Amino acid sequence: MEFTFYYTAIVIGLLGSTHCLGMCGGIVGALDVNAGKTDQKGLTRISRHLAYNAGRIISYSIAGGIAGFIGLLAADFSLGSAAPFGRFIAGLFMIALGLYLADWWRVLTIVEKAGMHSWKKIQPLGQRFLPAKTPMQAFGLGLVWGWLPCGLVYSVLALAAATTSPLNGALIMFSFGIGTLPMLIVMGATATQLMKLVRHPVIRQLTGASITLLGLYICMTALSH
Amino acid sequence: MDCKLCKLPTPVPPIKSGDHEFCCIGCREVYKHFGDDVFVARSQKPSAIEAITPEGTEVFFKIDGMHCSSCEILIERIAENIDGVLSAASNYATSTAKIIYDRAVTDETKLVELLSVTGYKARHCSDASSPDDDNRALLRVITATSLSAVIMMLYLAFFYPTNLGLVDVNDLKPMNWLAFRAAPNAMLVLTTILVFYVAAPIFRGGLIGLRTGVLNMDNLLSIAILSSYGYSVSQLYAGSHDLYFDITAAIVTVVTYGRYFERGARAKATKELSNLMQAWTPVARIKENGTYKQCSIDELKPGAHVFVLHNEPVPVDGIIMNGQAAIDESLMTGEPFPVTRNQGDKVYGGAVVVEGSIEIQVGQEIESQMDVLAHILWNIQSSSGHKRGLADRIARIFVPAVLLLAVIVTGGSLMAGLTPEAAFLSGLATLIVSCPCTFGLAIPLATATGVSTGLRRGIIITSADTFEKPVHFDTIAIDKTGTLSTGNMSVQDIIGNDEMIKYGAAVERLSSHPIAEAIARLDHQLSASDLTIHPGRGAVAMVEDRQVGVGSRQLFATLQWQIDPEITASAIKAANEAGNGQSVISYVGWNGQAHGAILTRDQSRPHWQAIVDRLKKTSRVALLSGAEHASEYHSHIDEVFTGVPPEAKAAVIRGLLAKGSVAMIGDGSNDAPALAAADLGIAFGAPTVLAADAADVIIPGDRLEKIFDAFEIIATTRTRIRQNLGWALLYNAIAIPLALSGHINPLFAALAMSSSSLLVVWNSSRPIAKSSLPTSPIEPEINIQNQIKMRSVKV
Repeated sequence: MEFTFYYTAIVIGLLGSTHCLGMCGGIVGALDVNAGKTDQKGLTRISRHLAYNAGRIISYSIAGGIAGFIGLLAADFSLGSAAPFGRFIAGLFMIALGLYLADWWRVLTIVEKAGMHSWKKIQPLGQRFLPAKTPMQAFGLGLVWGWLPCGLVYSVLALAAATTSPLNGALIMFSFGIGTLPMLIVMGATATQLMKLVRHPVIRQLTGASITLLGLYICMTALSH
Repeated sequence: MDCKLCKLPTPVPPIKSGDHEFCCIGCREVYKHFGDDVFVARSQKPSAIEAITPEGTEVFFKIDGMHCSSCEILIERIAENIDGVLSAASNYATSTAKIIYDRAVTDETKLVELLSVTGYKARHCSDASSPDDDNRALLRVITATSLSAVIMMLYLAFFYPTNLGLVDVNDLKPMNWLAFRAAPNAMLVLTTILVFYVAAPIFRGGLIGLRTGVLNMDNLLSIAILSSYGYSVSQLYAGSHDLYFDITAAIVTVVTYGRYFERGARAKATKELSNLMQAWTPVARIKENGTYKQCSIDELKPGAHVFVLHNEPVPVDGIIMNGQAAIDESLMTGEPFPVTRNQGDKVYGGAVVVEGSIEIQVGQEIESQMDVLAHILWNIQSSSGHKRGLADRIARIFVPAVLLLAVIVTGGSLMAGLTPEAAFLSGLATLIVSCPCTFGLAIPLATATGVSTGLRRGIIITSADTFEKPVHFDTIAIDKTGTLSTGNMSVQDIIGNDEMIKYGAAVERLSSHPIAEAIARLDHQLSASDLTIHPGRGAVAMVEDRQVGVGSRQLFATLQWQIDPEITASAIKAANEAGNGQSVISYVGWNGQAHGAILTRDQSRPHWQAIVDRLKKTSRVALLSGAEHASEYHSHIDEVFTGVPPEAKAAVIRGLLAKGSVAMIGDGSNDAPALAAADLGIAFGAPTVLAADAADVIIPGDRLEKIFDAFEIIATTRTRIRQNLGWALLYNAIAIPLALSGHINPLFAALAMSSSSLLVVWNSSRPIAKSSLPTSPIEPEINIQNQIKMRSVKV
């Protein structure tokens, strides 16, 4: 069971990150602009990007741990009956995410808006790390930006909660973070071409549809228990 | 609507922040946090960077230590990483870099320092090259020759006889120590020196290739040298007699020779420009409180008077106020004979006063023809010509492809059961025989030679792309005024009083139109300010608190000023008396009405018929004229367009383009749009920045027949570029398969590769013959300005 969850998390990261390319590309690009002309040497630049992503993934993992802990509490209180229910909820979240990515139904925006409350408290912390010139500053920035209200992240958090284990929850979110890496790292090199590709409606709908199907599958396994 | 940040579609209603619309909260938060930086970063992707021409200070440097086209990339990258540098371009063939920088952040001295890294040495374009570098290169050649000579002798004595089977190995036994101990170790020492001293520049080139990610010939050579050297060293310690120090030595020596000659050829190709710049350090002599003092050009004010003495260069453009001098304008016009310039004539900054002394007045703009010229030339020489296209692309995939082939052939041979030696040798030969440098050199060196030859003959080729243009034209369009005619208008008749002349001359002195120059020569007493030019019509300026207009009937109509019919009648009468309708009437007026008119006329360029006849051998010749009549040209010219105002000339050219290729010859400022519209634009006259932008070729001076020389240079250079590319393709197509199949040994491969490069270098740098078509005997220029003295003034 857990294996399916990790796999799903990685796939969501991989497919879903195509959606964020433009946004995360903006952050990564802003890092370069911040650093100014002096720090554009290949190595510094790459380590800055890596540090940012590392920070982000660590934040995800922490969030995953918390979600897993909440799941555990819920499961304990309900004496185990909540576990399939949690999986079902996670499946629903994924269906919503798929529909959102395909631009068919933006119901997930409601959840994103709900997340704004905590984000507003965290976001000012990010200002401390600006301009992010050194890898350490970029790391700090990544830590903060990991908490950005994002439908993608919330769906996987639902999955993490469904594991009913802080450790597994953290690992789920870590897998998700790893899944987002390829796209975001590749994007530095071939941004324009890639952007055109992932913006294509057919690609977006295919991505959305695959994630919707994954969500349906998880819902069904939850019901069959 | 699409999201401002990630371009995904936005929901309805969109998520907003300020004026921007976003697709999701995430994108909006990113924008709120980082501000406009996020968009800047997005738009600054590689494709967009070239489109932006940053505003900044432009400076040109000579870069010593550039030796391959990867260096262009590295230099550009180093420069762009410097704080304050907005853009950088460089050219390997001319060792020149152009940097645009922000003056607030950095300065030239700092740039020189920051660019002089990783073995490069930047210097100001006017500084002479250091002789040290030449000596070092020569020392490498000498070392390579003498060491390889010794190595070859040892091989002849102890290795080749047995290798070729002429002598049995056992026969060497009596001199065991010499043949198996002393000779190999001596060779090891000598080859080590060759590899680590003589071949150092090759390794450096290889490292540059690695750093820039664009592999070059040096990468192949480095691998070949190191592997043959390493292989031999390991064989030596294994006690084997199969040593390839000869191959190592041969590669290093032959390549070092090749590079040395190539260096010479490159220096030659850019010598003209270097000489030109080194001679140019202008100082102006001005009079202040009765005493003469020298100051820099930057300190001059508009309208200042500058004194130029015998044997001095004229520091800025200006008009002679006092004195008369013989002036050598060869730098600007390629004209070898000094010309006489009198009071009222224009002199160019950069010309040299050979005889006499003059006092000149500088215009509104303090500029020197020399600076403009230098700017144009540096621009050509520093751009690597990004349109190299095919050759560049080939060169980029070529080296990795060869490396792969060499690995495959070595592995394949081993698997096919060949001896390791044979497999190693064919791999080595493949690496060495391939010659990507011919691709890299084919275009830039030929282009540099073309530009340099042109310069020597007083022809400025403004861009490397010119050499990619066709050389046969269906139509050659020529502008009349200033091109087919001398453009030196002379005053033919004056209707009006002295006051009118004074005012008219004052206004026209500020304008550079040929008619204006003629009228300006009439008088020097008053000066004008606040000039407004009405292109093709005339000019208006303030003289003694009066707004004075000088120009055509249309100018007066625009200003809604009156022209007394009496003035018109006598002007037309005077024009008709002259006969052939070439006269131009310029009215002079103030206070809302014309106070007189000045008639000027143009003169046909001497020998224009001969030039047109020669053009007609290959193309149709069309004449474009602003005047209503051009009757005297009709008989000679295929098609005459009269009454074409400057702004309509481009349209006429586009009309001609519909019927075939068109070359346009005209003056660089008024005809700029037409020159730009034509397939080939030749600007005739002063090399201005405007002309350089619009035209492909600039011919300063007044020798129209130079266009044939220009055609010749373009055609020859174009042929050479094609020959070079053809040769590069042919050579590699034959040599690489031969090496792959093991038919070429590494020694021969090194020779073949170097000869191939040298062939291209030689072909690019050999002198371009003077135009071979018959030339009409053309005498040194007749000084038309002198004729102004014979003018008749009717009051």
